[in-house]
Parts: sequence; structure tokens; C-alpha cells
Amino acid sequence: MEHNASVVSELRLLYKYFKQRNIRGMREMSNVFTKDLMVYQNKVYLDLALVSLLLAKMVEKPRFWKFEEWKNNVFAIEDMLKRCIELCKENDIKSVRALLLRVFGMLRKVNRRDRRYVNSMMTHARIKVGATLYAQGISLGKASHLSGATKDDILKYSGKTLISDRFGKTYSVLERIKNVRTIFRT
Amino acid sequence: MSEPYSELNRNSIVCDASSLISLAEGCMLDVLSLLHQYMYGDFIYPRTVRYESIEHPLNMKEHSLRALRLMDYEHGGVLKVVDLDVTRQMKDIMNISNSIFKVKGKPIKLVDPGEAAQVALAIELGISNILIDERTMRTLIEAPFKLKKHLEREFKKDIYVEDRLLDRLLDLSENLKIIRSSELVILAYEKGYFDRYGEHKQDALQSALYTLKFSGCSISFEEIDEIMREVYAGKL
Repeated sequence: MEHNASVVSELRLLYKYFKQRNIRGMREMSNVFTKDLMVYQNKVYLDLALVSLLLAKMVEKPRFWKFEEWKNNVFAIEDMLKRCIELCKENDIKSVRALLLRVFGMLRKVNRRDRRYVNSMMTHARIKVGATLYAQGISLGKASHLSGATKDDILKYSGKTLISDRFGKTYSVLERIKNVRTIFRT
Repeated sequence: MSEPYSELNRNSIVCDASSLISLAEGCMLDVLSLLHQYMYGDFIYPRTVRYESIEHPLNMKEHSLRALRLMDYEHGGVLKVVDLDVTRQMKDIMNISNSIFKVKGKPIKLVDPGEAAQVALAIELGISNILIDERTMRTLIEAPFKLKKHLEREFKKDIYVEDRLLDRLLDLSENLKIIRSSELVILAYEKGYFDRYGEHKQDALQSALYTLKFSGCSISFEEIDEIMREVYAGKL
């Protein structure tokens, strides 16, 4: 990857924040990787955005900390993130993705022990990444394609945010209504 | 049911998936039936949008009911799929739109085939009205520099604009007029869609606009307030 140096430094930050159990930092990293995904449109950034978000969620929820399995996994994941940094330096993106896939598997297993929502944590995370891409300026279709979340889910999620309010208007709504009236018979 | 494109009225409206999703989510697809009676043309969409709105969600438990509802409107002749092959024009629009803005020396690929196909179909058929609830494609056509500003805010970096490509897109989309589902609902209000609620019909309209917003239609609270002020003042 031509943008290897920046991925290495971003992965280092994710590793640091995960070791510190810095939830805000991990969420920030998810946004950073989502921006990278928007620019480079390489699936490794989707994996990294998802893993950052999922780790933040898992660390945040006290219910997971009662499982010995999660406590043990935390140290294994730290090692795996460290290994990802090394692999990235070697430009072995295929192995980075394989390792991240293993992290997803571990997180899924713990999550299954105390599931609270109909949608899996992974589905939630994909919708969040899709909605972030859409908020950042990419189209709905492209956001859906890159994140793997459906257009419906991204629209529903985005509709409950202030995305449209923050963007400002292009034409006055009254002007639009005036135009639409001309298409129909009175 | 595919429509022979030579018979299409130029006052038709080309729909995209986002608007059909918003209307279906808000259980307001019957607005299309009501307005269809007053239309010179039809509500149409390209095959790609049909795939996104009906064929693909039909295989998903959560979304198949919405797809079936849309199919009903298609069978009733309210929505019509147009099988005109616009692949070349779609690719053209995608290539242009996805190379206009650059960050870190890389073009930002903004739009996907569904969105580009809708615009391509409208241009090819000489239809100027397109229905889009999604924000990016709309802003790219209506106010590209607003989108540039937004991208600059997001990336905290200067965004380079390929003027030649932007001019090309603006030339192609010059005659396009964008409608959101919210405008259709307002027009339906004027045509009596909410009359069954008597003295509460204005509240019903307001609620419908909120429902559309929460379903993803890119309308702001400020715009809803502006509309409601006009409604309460009896100007709408």
C-alpha cells in the first residue's frame, strides 16, 4: 500500500488506546480509519474502523468484564494488534486482514455469551461506519457498498442524527415546492 | 413491467432508492398513488434502482415487506421500470463524479452505480425531474462547492477541484431539478391527502415531515419549520 506509513502510525495509536482502555481514543481511531476508507477505498480500512469501534464497545460495557474469557482475550488482542503493526510495516496487508478476522471471531464469541440486541454487534458497527461515511460526504450508495450495511439501515441511522441540519440548504424549500407544482395538474 | 421509453412523458419523475425507502419507511407510498393521478408523466426508475429497492431487499427478512409494497405499486402502474440501457452514460457520470474532488492527491469516489444510473436515465430521456432523498448526489448537482466545503471541514485539508470535470457534470445536469420526498408529501397535502384528519391535518403534515426526516430524507428542522410557518399562515 502506498499509504503504508500512515496506517502504521494509526495502528500504533489504536494499540496504545486499547492498552490504555481509552474508549474515546478507540472511537476516534474508528473515525480516522473511516476517513481513510473514504479516500483509499481499501477493505483493510473497513476492518480497522470496525475493530476500533467494536473494541471500544466491548471495553465500555461492564457486563463483558465478568467473563474470564474476555479478560484473557484482551491480552491476546493486544498481542494481535502489535503483530498487525509489524505486518503492516512489511506491507503484508493480507495477513493483517486475516489477523483482524481472528479478532472479530473472538469478539463475536464473547458477545454471544450476553447478547442484548437483535442485530449483532458487527451489524451495528457496520451501520455506524456506513453512517459516518455518509456524514463525511460520500453518497448513500457508496457508503452502503463500502461498509456492507444496507441503504435502509444507514438512512434510518442518519435520519436520527443532525447530518441534514449541519449540511445547510442548497435551494429554499419554498422554491422547491414551487417547482414541484409545475409537474402536476392543478 | 417495463415501459417503452419512447412513450414516456417528459414530465415524468425519475426516482432513486433513497426516496422510495423514506416513503416506504414512513408508510407514505400512497402519496405516489395520489399524485400519480395529477401527473402528466409517471414515476419511473432504472433497472439498477429497481434492484436496490425491490430485488435485493426481497431476500432480506427485515426489508422484504417494503420491497413487496413497492412491487404492489409497480403492478398498479404507479411506479414504472424503464429498461433503457444507460450503462455507458452511467459509467460516464460515475467517472466524472468520482474524479471531481481530490484529497491527498487521490480522487474521492463519491457515488455508486445506482445513483449515477438515475441521473443518466433522466439525462438520456430528457426528463428534468429527479426524486432524491440522499444528500451527496443532490448537493453535487445543486451546489458542488458546498460539498467541497463540507469535505474540507471533514478532512481538515484543502480539497482540489478538477474544474474541467465539474463543468462537464454541471453541463450534463444543467436541466435537472431535484425533488425530495418531503416536497411530494407537501404537494399531497395541498391535494387533500391529509384532509381525513380534519382540523388536525396540519399536525399530520408536520408529523409526516418529521417521519420522513427520521427515515433519512435530507430535510432540516429549519426547513420543516419554514414549511409549517407557511402552512399555518395559510400560504400552503
